[in-house]
Amino acid sequence: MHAPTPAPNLPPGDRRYLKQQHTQHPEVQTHVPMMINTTRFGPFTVEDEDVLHFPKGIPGFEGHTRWALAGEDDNPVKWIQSLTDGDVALPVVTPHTFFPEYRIQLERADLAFLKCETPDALAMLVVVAIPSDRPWDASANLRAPIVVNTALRVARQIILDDEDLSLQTPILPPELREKMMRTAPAASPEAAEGSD
Amino acid sequence: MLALSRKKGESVFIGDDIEVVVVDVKGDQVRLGINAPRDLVILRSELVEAIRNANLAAAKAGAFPADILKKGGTAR
Repeated sequence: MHAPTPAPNLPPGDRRYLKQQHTQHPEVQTHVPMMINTTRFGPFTVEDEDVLHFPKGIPGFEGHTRWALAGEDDNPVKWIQSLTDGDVALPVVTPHTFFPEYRIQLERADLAFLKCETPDALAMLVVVAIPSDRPWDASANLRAPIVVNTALRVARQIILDDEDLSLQTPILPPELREKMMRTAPAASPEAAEGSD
Repeated sequence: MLALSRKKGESVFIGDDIEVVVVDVKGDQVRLGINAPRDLVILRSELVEAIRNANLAAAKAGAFPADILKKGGTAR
């Protein structure tokens, strides 16, 4: 076994240099509106204050650390648009719109990660899957909500330790699902049922 | 990847404060015990993979009719 190499002592000048390099927090961005071309929304201008920072990315999109919330006012389904890749956007809903009873238990480490001192500053989104040919079967991933510190705009998708929460919970109650199926222009309900 | 042989009741340490114990071995199933700080997230890899796949599938989403939740509204 070799003796471990002792760490070299940095001269004081070097230490100061290193410290200077780290005074800017990595999540702090310059205040320039960002333009990105997106598949879903076309050209998209993002102001600094609209950016959601996911320091760990999102499972499946690990390198994507900056996202922006997008969508229409009258649509309960919003989108988080990746600012790393214009082709990537995830549909989300606020859980209370569809699941008023939904509550989650956060660990102290989650709060620390989100740099959150008071839960009042937290908001929640859940990712939904919308089958393109059967939007009435849209389902939400209640097992892994996205929790946002709205003050700092730092967010993380948190995987909960609760086996009762489904990754594919239907978002529409049966009567709304029926209604959407009836009024869908593209596919008739019969055809849709037959294809399942 | 580091591979170590361990018997039932034996353990390994990962760093100073994570201990993984082989609690039981039955056929092709190994029961692991993990002593770790409470704030450390420990998840079955299938669950992480399932969440990843759910996100990748969600990114391929279709459109959602806007006015479905409005009273008297009709989906376009």
